[in-house]
Amino acid sequence: MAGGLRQRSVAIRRYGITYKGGIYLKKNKTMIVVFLTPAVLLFLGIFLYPIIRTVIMSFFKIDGVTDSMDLWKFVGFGNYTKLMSTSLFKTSFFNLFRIWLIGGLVVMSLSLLFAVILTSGIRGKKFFRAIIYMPNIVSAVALATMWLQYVYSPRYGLLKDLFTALHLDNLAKIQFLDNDHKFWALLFAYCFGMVGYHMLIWLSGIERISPEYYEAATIDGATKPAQFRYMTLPLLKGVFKTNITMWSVSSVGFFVWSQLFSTVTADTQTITPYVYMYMQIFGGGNTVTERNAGLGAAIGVLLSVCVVIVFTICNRVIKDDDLEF
Amino acid sequence: MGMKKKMLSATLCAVMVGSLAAPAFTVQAADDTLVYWSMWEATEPQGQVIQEAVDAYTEQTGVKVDLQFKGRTGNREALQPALDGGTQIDIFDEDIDRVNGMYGKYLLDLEDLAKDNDYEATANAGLMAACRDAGGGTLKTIPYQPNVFAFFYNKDLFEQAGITEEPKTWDEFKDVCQKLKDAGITPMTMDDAYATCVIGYHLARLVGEDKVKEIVTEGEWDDPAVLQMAQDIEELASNGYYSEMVGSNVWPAGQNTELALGTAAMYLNGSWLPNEVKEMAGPDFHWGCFAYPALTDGANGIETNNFGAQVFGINKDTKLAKEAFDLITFLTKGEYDQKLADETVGIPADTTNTEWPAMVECAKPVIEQSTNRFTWACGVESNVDMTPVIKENFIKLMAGSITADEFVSTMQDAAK
Amino acid sequence: MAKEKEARRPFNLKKEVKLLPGYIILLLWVIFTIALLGWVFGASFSTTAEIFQGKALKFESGLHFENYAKAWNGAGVAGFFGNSLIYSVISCTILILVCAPAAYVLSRFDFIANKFIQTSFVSAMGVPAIMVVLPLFSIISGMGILNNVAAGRTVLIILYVGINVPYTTIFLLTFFSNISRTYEEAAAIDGCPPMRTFWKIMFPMAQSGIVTVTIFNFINIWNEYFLSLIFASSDKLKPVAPGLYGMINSMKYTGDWAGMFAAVIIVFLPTFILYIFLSEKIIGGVTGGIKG
Repeated sequence: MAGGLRQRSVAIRRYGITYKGGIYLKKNKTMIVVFLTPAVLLFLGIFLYPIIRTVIMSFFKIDGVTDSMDLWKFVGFGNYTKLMSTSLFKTSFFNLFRIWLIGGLVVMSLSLLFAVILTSGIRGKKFFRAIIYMPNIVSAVALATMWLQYVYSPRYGLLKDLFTALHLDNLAKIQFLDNDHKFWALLFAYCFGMVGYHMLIWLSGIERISPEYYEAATIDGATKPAQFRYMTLPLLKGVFKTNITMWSVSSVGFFVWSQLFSTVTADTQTITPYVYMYMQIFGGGNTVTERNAGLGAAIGVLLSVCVVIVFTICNRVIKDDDLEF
Repeated sequence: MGMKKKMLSATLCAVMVGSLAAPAFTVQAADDTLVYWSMWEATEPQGQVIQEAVDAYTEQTGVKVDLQFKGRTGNREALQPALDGGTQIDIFDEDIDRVNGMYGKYLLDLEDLAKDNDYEATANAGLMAACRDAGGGTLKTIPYQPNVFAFFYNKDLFEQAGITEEPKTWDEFKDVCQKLKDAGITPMTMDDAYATCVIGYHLARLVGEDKVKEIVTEGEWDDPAVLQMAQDIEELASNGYYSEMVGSNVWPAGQNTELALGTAAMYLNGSWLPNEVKEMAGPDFHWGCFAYPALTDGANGIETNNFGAQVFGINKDTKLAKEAFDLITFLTKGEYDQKLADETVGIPADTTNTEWPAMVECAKPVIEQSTNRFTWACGVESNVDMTPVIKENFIKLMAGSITADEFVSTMQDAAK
Repeated sequence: MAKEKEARRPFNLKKEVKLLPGYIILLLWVIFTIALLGWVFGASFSTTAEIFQGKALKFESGLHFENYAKAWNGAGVAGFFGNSLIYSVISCTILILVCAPAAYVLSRFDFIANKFIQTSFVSAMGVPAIMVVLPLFSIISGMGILNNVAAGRTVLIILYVGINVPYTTIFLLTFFSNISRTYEEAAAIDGCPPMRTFWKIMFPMAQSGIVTVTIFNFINIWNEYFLSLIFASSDKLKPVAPGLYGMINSMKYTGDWAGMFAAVIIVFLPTFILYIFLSEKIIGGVTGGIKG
């Protein structure tokens, strides 16, 4: 296989990868069917019925999420228009957007930076990789408690002590969990936990790039930053797409962190559509409130649509076929 | 094709290993086994006492019980789908209003069973009445682990400030706050999680719970009572009666670091509070308790309180109604009721169990004087679309970062 | 391969100095992480009062091992771990066997339903789990098979696999699409049938992606909460998350925060050890395989 790798890089340089279709690839209908069937069947079995049901439910007023259909009350687009006119839902969507955009920028750049450093030939790579990924496998309950009760504490918090030690008294005085700062406190804590996950995705992409490319480039006199800009980045386009998709999917499901940063009742700074949906399906807090699983379903549909839009845009903008050399 | 076959056989093998890894026998289903989905966790004291009681019950009666600890959210999320799907669940429990309200249609009417067993002879009349009320006039649930929501305070700090009487009216309350403040003690603190209970209580004292619900669901924030309430709270805030931390306290910071460690004197909370903070407060903490004070020209006084309980309900489709009721009786009377109270620092349900755990003894007068009931947060959380907005702005009001007028106008805007 | 080459690299001062900024950035982050997790670890041996006084790491009253005893108390922890292990290992294996071929086909061939399948998979990931799980529960619970342990296990595994199919497939897509087609062509010229080519050549070439997605799947399924909460109708079926989150919750409800952190560590440690073990083993195994 070592020979194969060399052969590969030669072939890539010679033909480029802008190769569509293929001589032998056309005649394989059996292969397509055989390879796809298990995945598609499982998908249909687990998702098709629930998804269709969710879409239908979003046009009804339904008390309990498992109520039989004769208890549903048709409201047309009522659930959607109600959502659009509810300021709390708009707030929750705005929060989600902020988390997705700002958090996305922060997490993507930090995780890429770490991945690049890790593959630049430093020592202790496995150690660093394991530690950076570690927050991901600690339960969110623990992570959030740690941030809430330790890092952000206005009495003995890590940040307070740190800023005091650096004589940044204005920063040390900030109450990180009051209404003005709570969102940012939540976002930062969440990003901290997510960096490792996306770093692993970048890493697996970078490691797949054959080292011969870099050796060849180094011989040709290309500097490290130049190699990064002209080789690593273009080759990572596909992985970038994966990262954005995964980030969008996990942002959409933003729930546990919100709940932990505001126990019992939701909070305007931390509420997300998923939390709002939860309140509509299971009732909010300790009071028995009116429930509407149909409204929850409508939120589910809207969130799915958002993910599809992001994915489509990604596919349009980043075509991983046309890698440039 | 060879690879494909290999893959298939690997898949099949994996599935078979998975399904055969455990001996194939049935878990429940047997008709003589009671299935009880519990709201507690197996490792918390309630769960442990209940497990013990259930074992004792099985030993005494021979009735097998399949006890599943689902936890609070577990029951809230999974119970109704399971009941709808026809899963055998004979007994389940949760908060009084939730069981009667959300699961009402699955409940067996317990009037006859209660009468046959003379259950009410030793049950708290107020709670039984509350259950009937929540059940739409008939008894569908049996209460246990009662609780009451009131001001809990540090008796030593009151003494230190020279306070001898618990306040009953708003003026007396403000007087108490001032004395505490003069003695260099922070009169009150709050956590975000319970902020809505403060506004709920104050509004409900002024106009009653029904009107509170109307205000939050119909958006009647221009009601004069809202402004009145906001001004009262603003006065407390501007006099420095709230801790500086109320703006940023995320539960349990306030109760654990301020109340329990003795820097703040009062905290409006449920009677579960002493148990929650006992590790921080230590054995020498002397608890006091008084009902939310009466307001001038208010709709009600200290006889109306937010008290409640967890309740047991029996599935109307059960084949073992008698056994189920027996088990409930076993859990809520005599030995195990007392044990549950002792282990959880809770309040007994059986009126013949008169020995309350010392830490909650202080709540006894409040429970005994309560003849009318508010629900959770006195109805102020009835509108999920408004609750977070109420919470945000009310915390700001307590923290003194907005005025009463600003509070009212923000709420009016938000309700549009 | 490259990694091993670097591990054996002799010390070269000039090169290390060039890498210094990288080291500093990583070290800062790592110190921060260790400080945080170390605090949790320390807090698990402290007392609740000390934690809330900000003295969690001073251990003025000594080390409190009883926190662990309290958190462990009564729960069938070993059983939960065993269940999680069964579910994750089997589901991850099936997932790779099912999704890798599908991802390969989707990345390589233009056919009518291709984009449609991809978009369906992606939108499925956006559908909240609650909306998928509850209707399924109604159906399965209606079949009355949940009372049987073996059936319960099979149902859970099928669900874990099914729920993760879109994610795994979409994840692997990119990895296959980035592999040059020259390999298949070379194999085709040598007369190797395409499906064999996939398993012999393409599958090993996507190893970094496969390992990564398996780690993610493994940790997802290991920590999965909602599905097992609803479908694991008996303690014999319960995996780690609902079992041990119960522990965390009960410590929280009783105000025993030191015990809660102990519970966190109990949940965390086996996962972490497995994570290290798994990632190294699999990377080592597949890399070794590719050379032969």
